[in-house]
Amino acid sequence: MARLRSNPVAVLSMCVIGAMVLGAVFAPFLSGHAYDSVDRQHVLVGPTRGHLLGTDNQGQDQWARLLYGARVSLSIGVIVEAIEVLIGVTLGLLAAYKGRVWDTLLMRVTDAMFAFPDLLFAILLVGILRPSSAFASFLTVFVALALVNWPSMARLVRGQALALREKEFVEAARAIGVPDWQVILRHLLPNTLSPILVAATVDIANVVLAEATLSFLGIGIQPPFPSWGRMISDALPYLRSAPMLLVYPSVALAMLVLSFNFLGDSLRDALDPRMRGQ
Amino acid sequence: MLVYVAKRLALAVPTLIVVSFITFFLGFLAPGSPIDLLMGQHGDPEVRRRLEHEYGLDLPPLVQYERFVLNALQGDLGRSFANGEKPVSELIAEQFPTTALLACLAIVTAMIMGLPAGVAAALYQNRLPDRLVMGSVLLLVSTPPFVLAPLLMLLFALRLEWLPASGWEGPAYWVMPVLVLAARPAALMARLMRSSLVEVLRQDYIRTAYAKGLSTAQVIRRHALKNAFLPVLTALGNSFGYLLTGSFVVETVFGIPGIGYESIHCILARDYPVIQAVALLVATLFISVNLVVDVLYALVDPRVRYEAVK
Repeated sequence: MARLRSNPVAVLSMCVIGAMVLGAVFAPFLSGHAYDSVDRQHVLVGPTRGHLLGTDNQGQDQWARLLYGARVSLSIGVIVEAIEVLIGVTLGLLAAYKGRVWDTLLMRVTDAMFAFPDLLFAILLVGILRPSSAFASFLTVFVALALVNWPSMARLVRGQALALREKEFVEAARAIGVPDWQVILRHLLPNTLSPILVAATVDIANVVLAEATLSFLGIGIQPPFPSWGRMISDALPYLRSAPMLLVYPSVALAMLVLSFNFLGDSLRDALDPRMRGQ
Repeated sequence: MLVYVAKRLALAVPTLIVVSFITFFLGFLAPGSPIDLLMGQHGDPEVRRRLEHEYGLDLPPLVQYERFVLNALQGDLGRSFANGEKPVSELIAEQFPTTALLACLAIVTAMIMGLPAGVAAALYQNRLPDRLVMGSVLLLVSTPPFVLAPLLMLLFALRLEWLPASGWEGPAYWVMPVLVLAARPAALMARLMRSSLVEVLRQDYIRTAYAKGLSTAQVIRRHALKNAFLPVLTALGNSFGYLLTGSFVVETVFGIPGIGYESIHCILARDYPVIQAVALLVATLFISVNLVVDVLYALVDPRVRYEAVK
């Protein structure tokens, strides 16, 4: 941790993420407008006293939508990542430790999932389910992104655990009769935590990007919920007359993703024993 | 070598079957029958039964799946529900060349930009060129195509008026979409090239090459690059997958009449046969590209083929 704190990039990234989390949590107090309120008198205006960052073509307050958009992005990023880690770690450890049937099953299923490039599977799933309500769209995006992302986590954990299984301390634990689940929880899991942490941090960035992509394409989060990806696609027709509509959500999205990427890289350096003392 | 290729091919077949299975049964998850769409406002049960029969939707699911696969193998991907019942294969034949051109230009551009940048970063490790390259890498990885595209559009099309904002009518129209699509793969390739080359430069045979009096340029060109390129080759296969789905976004933003643009339209119009066909096509292409990459890998690196055959 001390190594992380002495890294200015990591500190800055944590500050950005922290500020966005605060903004998301306290959005109702900071925004001054509801995310779906419409001000017909002020349409496509620049920053004014009533609207900190101006409004879009429907008279929706951009500052409010940015704050509530942070809620959407962060909650999807964190919750999807949590589901992914839970599934990935469980299946990865089981496959590595139990071997045979579990392992073959995991490898074949992940192989098939990897055969769908990148976001294709999520696009397909969300596109075909086409949730009818805004709330259902939220759930669908969660499920789709968690489904797409867990295989890489499972593979990572499996690889780590496979290498650990052969180590003397695991053999020793088994030799003195420690039950399987205790070997897994006490010995394998703690030793795989740091690569999981690094991968999960970087992965949050990818999940946030994926949600924004789906919403940009019009198949992610449905209105009236605000999403940065949706805000960007809504801003495209006004590129010439109101370019700032595009700039705000783009900057917010890029900053959040960049911060998680930087933090992940810094964590990797900080947790890597080979880098210690350098 | 042949044994290796055969083994690799044998692994690809079950994957393809699973992929086709998933793609087909995703259609069953869809809320509401596609027939509802075709029928529109009409509620005549007789018409419904006839339509269901015509599309084979009254058969058991597994039989439908069998027909789907057998037809797909013969190039018949069904008919679009939305585009005047046009055969899906025709739709794809019209639009695929555009996407393929876009993807190929992008991958070449990504290599031209990413590989030299990665080599430079590795040679000047922890110095200014390295920091510049790695900084841009993180920036590009964090900037999605739908952010990069409008920004470029704003600058080059609206402000400077150097390039056309959207469309697909000639080389001038290609520049921005290709750059946008190439950005992320270029960044990832640069990062991988750097770490791979850094690793190779620590090896004993590099020291030997220096010791026998070769210049840095010769060591890099003759000994280091060839070995460092191997991991990048694998990444190339994955980048290709990104290019295929990335084209969904890029084609939508720039209004390019390709597969991606069409797919998004079809998804919004619930035109399931087209969605299934595109998914099947893209996944098959992706599997084939990775197969080719793996075979190439084995061709250039004997260790891989001995490992696999053992």
